[in-house]
Amino acid sequence: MTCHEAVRSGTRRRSRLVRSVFVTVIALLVAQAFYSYAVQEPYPSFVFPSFSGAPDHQGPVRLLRPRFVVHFAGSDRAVEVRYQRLLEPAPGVVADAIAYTVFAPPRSDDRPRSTPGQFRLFLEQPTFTRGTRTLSATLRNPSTRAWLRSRLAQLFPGRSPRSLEISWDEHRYAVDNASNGETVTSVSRLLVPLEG
Amino acid sequence: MGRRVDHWMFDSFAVTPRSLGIARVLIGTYLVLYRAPGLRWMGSLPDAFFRPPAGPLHLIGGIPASGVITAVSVTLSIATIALLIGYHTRLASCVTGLLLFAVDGLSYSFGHVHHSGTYLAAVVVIMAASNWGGAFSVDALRRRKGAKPATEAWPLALAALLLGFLMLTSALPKLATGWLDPSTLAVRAHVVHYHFVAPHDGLLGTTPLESTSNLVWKPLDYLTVFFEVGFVLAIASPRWTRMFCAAAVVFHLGAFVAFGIDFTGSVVAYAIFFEWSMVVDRVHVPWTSRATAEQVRDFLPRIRLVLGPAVFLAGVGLYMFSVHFGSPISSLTSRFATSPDRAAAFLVFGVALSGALAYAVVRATSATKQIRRRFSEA
Repeated sequence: MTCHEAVRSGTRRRSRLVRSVFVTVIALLVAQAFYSYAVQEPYPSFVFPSFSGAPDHQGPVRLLRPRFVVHFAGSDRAVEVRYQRLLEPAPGVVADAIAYTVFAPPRSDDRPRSTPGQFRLFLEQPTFTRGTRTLSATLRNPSTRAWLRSRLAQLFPGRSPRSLEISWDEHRYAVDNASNGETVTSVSRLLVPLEG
Repeated sequence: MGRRVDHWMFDSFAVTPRSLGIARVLIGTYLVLYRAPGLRWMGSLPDAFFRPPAGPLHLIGGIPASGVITAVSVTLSIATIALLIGYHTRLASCVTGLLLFAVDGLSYSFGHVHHSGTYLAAVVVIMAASNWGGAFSVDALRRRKGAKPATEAWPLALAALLLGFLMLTSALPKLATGWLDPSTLAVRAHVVHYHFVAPHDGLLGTTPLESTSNLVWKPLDYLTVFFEVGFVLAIASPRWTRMFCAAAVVFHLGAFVAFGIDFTGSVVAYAIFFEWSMVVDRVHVPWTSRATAEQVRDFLPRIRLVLGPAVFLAGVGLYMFSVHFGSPISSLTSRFATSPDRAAAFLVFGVALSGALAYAVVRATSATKQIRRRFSEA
């Protein structure tokens, strides 16, 4: 084989390799997109935000929001704490994600971690089992409760937290009338015992 | 057909080594100034909260130890500096891209996945194969005098393919859920909804609540869908890819204004597709700067041993700075803006928008000249 032929054969081999890279990338991209929508979104995931449909169907805007209230031992007075403060110094988006997953009732949709399921979190419209008092597996974990105890003790020095109450409320905002009124209805109430 | 595909893959996106070098400097500058690898907050959360998405991060049992987080952040800072100055560029690109994925992935292990940084991280990894350190770099100065850098165009085609695919994943759900239905105002519905989710994230205030006109909002639905679907077709031609990238700057700016979603990373990544050397050629470079470059080239072998430690120290310095003050650009904007991160994003958009508009004007002028010439020939 002459030097010229060797160079040409090397170039051909490299071209074949690049072509196979393209084919593999296309196959992987399609497979991960299907997986993202059908099962759960992996990471890294190569999908852009979908912004599918039109939320609220031209009716009032509906949002699900949590309210965190701390009850203390030896006191009837409860104190409301923002979850962003509880989870500081986690960035806002991370605090939102933790609040809407760990501190939320079980999701009633079967693929909460799929791309559409995650987008419902962005819209603050997760599909919860209404009226449930079941805690998430993470909130039942003793190490989570120990962390909550120490974090609340840090936020409220000198007081002993007895329980954390998380109320999930549906906020409805009338958009297309003059009043832009807001109505709030309770969806679920979770109680995390912290004593012992 | 095979030949056309080969041409698209191997040749059509070819730009000069200097253009690739400038794209690398732009992306490196963005990463150094804008992307502070802040992960120290993770140490304050319990392991039980750490629930990584499917993929390589599942191999990690819990929140990494603070030493690991610091090591990852410092390495990313060092790799970013190396990428900016083009020092062992191929290695720096791979390390920077992979660590960007790792840093984003770790912060997405608490129940949400964002998509704003993915394309930039992928581009940085892909471009390692393009030899984008062939110009405006330490690697170029270390090259033998007169030796021409060999660059590859296929990584740009791969990056274009990925971009087209990403836009398609955004377009298909819209097409399937009524964005083209004349009775639906999808953009308005999302903007109004988000106004109640986070009233202070977007910049439109209550305007969308007051405006219900189909004439104003429906064209935005059509434009969004056509733009995203059009991107998939545009990647067949480098020229159209550039035009769509320029338009994408406006598109991402719109999303930032409406929802506060920061896609500046993607905007900066689009720089790889442009022929920057045409811009540089029009800039008058004083002869002294060429002489200085020659002097640096002659001087480099003598300081070869301290180059590595200097990059290392600069990376550590960048990390220390970001720990104490946040990203350099945010620490600058905090002097005059109440929301430094938002002001920093606007700065990036401002620069990108100026470039996009300039490109659009150049293309329009060139197209007009071509049409005139054809008419005069006819």
